[in-house]
Amino acid sequence: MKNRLRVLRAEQNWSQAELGMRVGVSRQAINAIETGKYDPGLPLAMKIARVFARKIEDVFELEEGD
Amino acid sequence: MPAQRTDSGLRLLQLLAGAFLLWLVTTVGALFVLDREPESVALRAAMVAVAVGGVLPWSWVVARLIQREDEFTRRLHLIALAIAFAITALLVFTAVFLQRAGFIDYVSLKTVLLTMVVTWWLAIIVTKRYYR
Repeated sequence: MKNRLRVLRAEQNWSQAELGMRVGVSRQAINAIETGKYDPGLPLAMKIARVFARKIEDVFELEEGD
Repeated sequence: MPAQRTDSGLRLLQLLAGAFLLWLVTTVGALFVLDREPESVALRAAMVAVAVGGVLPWSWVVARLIQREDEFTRRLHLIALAIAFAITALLVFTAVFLQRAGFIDYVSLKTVLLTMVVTWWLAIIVTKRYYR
């Protein structure tokens, strides 16, 4: 799954730790999502979309083969 | 809210220390009694119950500590436990056949338990490094 987390975070000028705090996860979790090593569950994905005031599909996108 | 979470985390760590102490005391106590080979069946059964009962609070606190983490950390622990289970199962399976083939005499359950704990911690370290 692709995501635009890094871009959206940069737009807000938030660090990984700050975004993690806003959605209730660790900095390592945000890093793993940004690097594509970890796909978040639905509640976390919805929280992330909500803090950016976006729809979930604006942040996360299924790739071919997902 | 974060302060509440920190307080609750600190309380859990205190509980972990207390539960570990209880585990240590009940294990040493039960071994102390059982090593004297008492004849009473009730006493021996009671010592087994004491030893097993002593480890339960520690297990519960560890489970609570993992449960209160975020979903990513819980995933790390799940992967680490799966790795530890697979490695321990493979080692036990290997040991069974090494024993049957006459290469080794006997593998104690304590060794198996220790191997499981060590591989669990190693798997946590490896999994964390992978996701770093």
